[in-house]
Amino acid sequence: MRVPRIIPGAILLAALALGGCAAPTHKTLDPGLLDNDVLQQRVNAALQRGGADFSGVHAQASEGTVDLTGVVAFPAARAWAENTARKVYGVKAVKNDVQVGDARKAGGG
Amino acid sequence: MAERAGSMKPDTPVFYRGIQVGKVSASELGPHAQTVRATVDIEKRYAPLVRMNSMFWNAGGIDVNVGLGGADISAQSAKTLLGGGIDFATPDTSQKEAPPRTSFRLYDKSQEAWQAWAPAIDLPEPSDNSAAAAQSAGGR
Repeated sequence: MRVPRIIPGAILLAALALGGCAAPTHKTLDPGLLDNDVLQQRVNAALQRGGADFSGVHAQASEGTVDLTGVVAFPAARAWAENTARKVYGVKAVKNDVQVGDARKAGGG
Repeated sequence: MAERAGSMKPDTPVFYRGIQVGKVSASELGPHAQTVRATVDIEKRYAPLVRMNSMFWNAGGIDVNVGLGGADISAQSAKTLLGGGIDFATPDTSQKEAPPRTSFRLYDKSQEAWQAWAPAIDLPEPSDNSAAAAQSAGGR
């Protein structure tokens, strides 16, 4: 059980490369990795808090641009997902590749 | 080999302006094993300090001290020196309060500008849920 005075305030991300003796070989890691990862998690968290069922939607972030993929049940949810992602702090642009429906095809609309 | 991931270990203290406001409660590898992910518990009273644009950095003493002489060592608490620590700061134009489980990047070190940030943030009154806490606080 969680002590009530304490709340899970933040999740911190650090590159594994932080460990060790500052060997230059660690620079092989993509320098944007952490920022992308953080943004991605923030968008995914925002979607989880969102009003609709976005369990089928996934975010992929790259330099401030978030690519949403996955499936939602109805067309409005597709727009909601995009709006939710757009409002996340740090998001510059959203690419909405979310599909609508399972058996149903979204069509050209 | 010294591991600076030490500042991500459970119970590592989290400081705001030198005051401990929380600690690391869990740490794990990220999904692709390229990153370390630490969950930080912030005392409820201090939660308003964490904003969407807050910056976190590694305040572990060991690396900082190398080549810098003794002055900086004394500035860090003994606990920080031994076990590492995490500092954070919030810009003067703070964003809205970060919801629980918001992700942040943990930077290797701070930038000078971050240290100068000093926004006025209203904190709730300390609550005295337990008698012991009220006593140690020296009355309400």
